[in-house]
Amino acid sequence: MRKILALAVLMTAFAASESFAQSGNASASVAVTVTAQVTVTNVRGLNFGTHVQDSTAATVSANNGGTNAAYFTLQTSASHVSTVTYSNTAMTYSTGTINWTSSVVGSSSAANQLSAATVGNNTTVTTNGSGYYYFWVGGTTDPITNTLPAGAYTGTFTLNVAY
Amino acid sequence: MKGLLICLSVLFLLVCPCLAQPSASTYVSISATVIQGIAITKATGLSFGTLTVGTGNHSIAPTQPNVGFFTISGQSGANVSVTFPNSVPMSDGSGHTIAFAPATPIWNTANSQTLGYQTFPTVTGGTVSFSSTGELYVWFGGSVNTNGIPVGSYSGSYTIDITY
Repeated sequence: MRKILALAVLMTAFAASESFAQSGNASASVAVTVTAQVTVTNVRGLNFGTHVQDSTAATVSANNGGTNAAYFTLQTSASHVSTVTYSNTAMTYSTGTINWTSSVVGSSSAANQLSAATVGNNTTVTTNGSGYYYFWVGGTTDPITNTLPAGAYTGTFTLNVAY
Repeated sequence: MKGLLICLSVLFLLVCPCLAQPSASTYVSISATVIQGIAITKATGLSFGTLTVGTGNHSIAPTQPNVGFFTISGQSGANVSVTFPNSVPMSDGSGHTIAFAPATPIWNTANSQTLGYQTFPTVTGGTVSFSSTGELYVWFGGSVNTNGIPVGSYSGSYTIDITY
């Protein structure tokens, strides 16, 4: 059936070119899909604060960590479902390295840090009616031992949102 | 051939929107400050020696030789809160107790009771600082009263608490 249709199209085109050889016009469909922009803004970083080398871990709660928790905003189209992935690097200073694991919570309301739900890596979130979603990031370090040199350690946390 | 082109065009239209999907990512800094733990590297007790019962109050000032002494290490330049007891019971192990009344201790960032030392704000301590190399020295003295107490050997513990 597909071969018959293709042959019919070919024959029609040939016949037409024979009949109107000096001019012609044709139309073809053009398609494009336009999506909203995705903007992820880092409002502030995660701060574990000052910790003594006492072999205990440092922890900042994503829900209860207040302004010590990192804070991101997502802006895209309203009520849209987007996929979130994230990763982090260890904190380093001089010869010292502190590994840490992140905990991410999110909400469609900026006022809901305390009750925001866990956002797993490679899961989806849904923006609110204005196109916003909010993330807070906490974490827990490995034990801070006395083998770590005293100093200011830094690392990074990257949040990616795919439309 | 045209049939093949049509098929390719349809295929392109199907694939194209997928390639155009946007995404965004950003990162934030993560920070932590590690400071050196506090360690009391030396603790030397205070001894009144042998006293005679009924001879009243006996005092030893923190600036005198051979008093109670702590050597402490910590984060260079950091402020710490130091607390001491305002009274220490001393027991003879036979049910008798006398009181050691501490004097206000002194401190220094160098190991000297005579040059550059400072007196704590109160007998129970205050806020002081480690030296630029993370050292702190504390000396303490005090008094006991021998009136009306049984003969015996009395001892107790004078405890220093230090927190950032």
